[in-house]
Amino acid sequence: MTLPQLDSARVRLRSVSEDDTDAIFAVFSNPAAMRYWSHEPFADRARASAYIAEIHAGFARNDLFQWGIERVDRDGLIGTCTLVGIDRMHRRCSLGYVLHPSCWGQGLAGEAASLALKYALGTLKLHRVEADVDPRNQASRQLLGRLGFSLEGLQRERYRLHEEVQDTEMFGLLATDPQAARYL
Amino acid sequence: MSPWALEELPTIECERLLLRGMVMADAEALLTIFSDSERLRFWGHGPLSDLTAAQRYVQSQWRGVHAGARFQWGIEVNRELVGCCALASLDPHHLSASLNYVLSPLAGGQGFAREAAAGVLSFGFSVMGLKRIEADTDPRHERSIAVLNALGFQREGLLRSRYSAANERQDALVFGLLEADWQSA
Repeated sequence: MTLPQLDSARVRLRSVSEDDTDAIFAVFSNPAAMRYWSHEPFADRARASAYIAEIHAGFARNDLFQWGIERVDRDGLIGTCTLVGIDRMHRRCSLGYVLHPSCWGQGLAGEAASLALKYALGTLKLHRVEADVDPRNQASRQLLGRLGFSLEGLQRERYRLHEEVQDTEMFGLLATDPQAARYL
Repeated sequence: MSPWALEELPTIECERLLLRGMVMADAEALLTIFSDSERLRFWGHGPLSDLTAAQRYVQSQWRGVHAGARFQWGIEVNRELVGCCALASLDPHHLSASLNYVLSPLAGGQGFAREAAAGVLSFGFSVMGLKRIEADTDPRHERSIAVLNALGFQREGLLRSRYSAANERQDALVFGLLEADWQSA
């Protein structure tokens, strides 16, 4: 079994393969794209290759769906969109997304995330999707708001990353929220 | 490999309690501690079904210690196991962990949870070098909230409908305690 391909007007979510190593490296080595990501930028292409293997292992474990994001009119990945920590007992998961900075500002991350949310709430029938974001990451916070997430809390000094200590804001979206109706 | 992988958990002596690693002879007492589904509503798993399940549970706690992933102490009063207190989700990169505790029905109301948690927090911050310990509880669980408040935890948020348990959806009230706050308290 492979990840299902999901299409919207401008973007496609599809499974990541070894052929995408250069594109994955371009995104995950970019300091601006990685500024608020959960690990440091990749130093070399071998790390990107190992990362793709981790994506496949997570899918085999059935707790990680990490799609590559591609524009429908152009080949080549521009980022990834993730459902991570898929917990079938509690029917929830976390949402993540990252785009190469050359593709920022066009609403593509929102389009990709909407596809993933439809899949999580509509297909997997999860009840809750959560996301956490650095309070300084304005673009991502605003996107979560547009996607229908509610701010639920702030964990102080949660992460030690990028040579600093970071707070994290916690957001949640429930299948029963009125603003989730668009995903069902 | 976690830097906290241990052969066995060190014993922690508190004023009235002894916190120590789980042993196979605890299985019987664990059945009582993890019997009441009403109380376990707020713990990560349901009741232990029988002695074999309790023995497997002890072994899983040993694996957690050996992997440096989860430290669960038994709470002993007068040589009797009355509950458990754990540092779970040990994260050596972010120097964080989460705190859990559960007491047998007969041992409630005497401040044992608070005393055990204080011993475990002290170990986490002072011995392990943790910088942040978090906890979550159901917003209806007033006694647990009182324990966290007394220990200096700050309320950081309310995650809606985060758990499915006891045939209902449950919210999670999340708390955090920073090492700096703990040391200055």
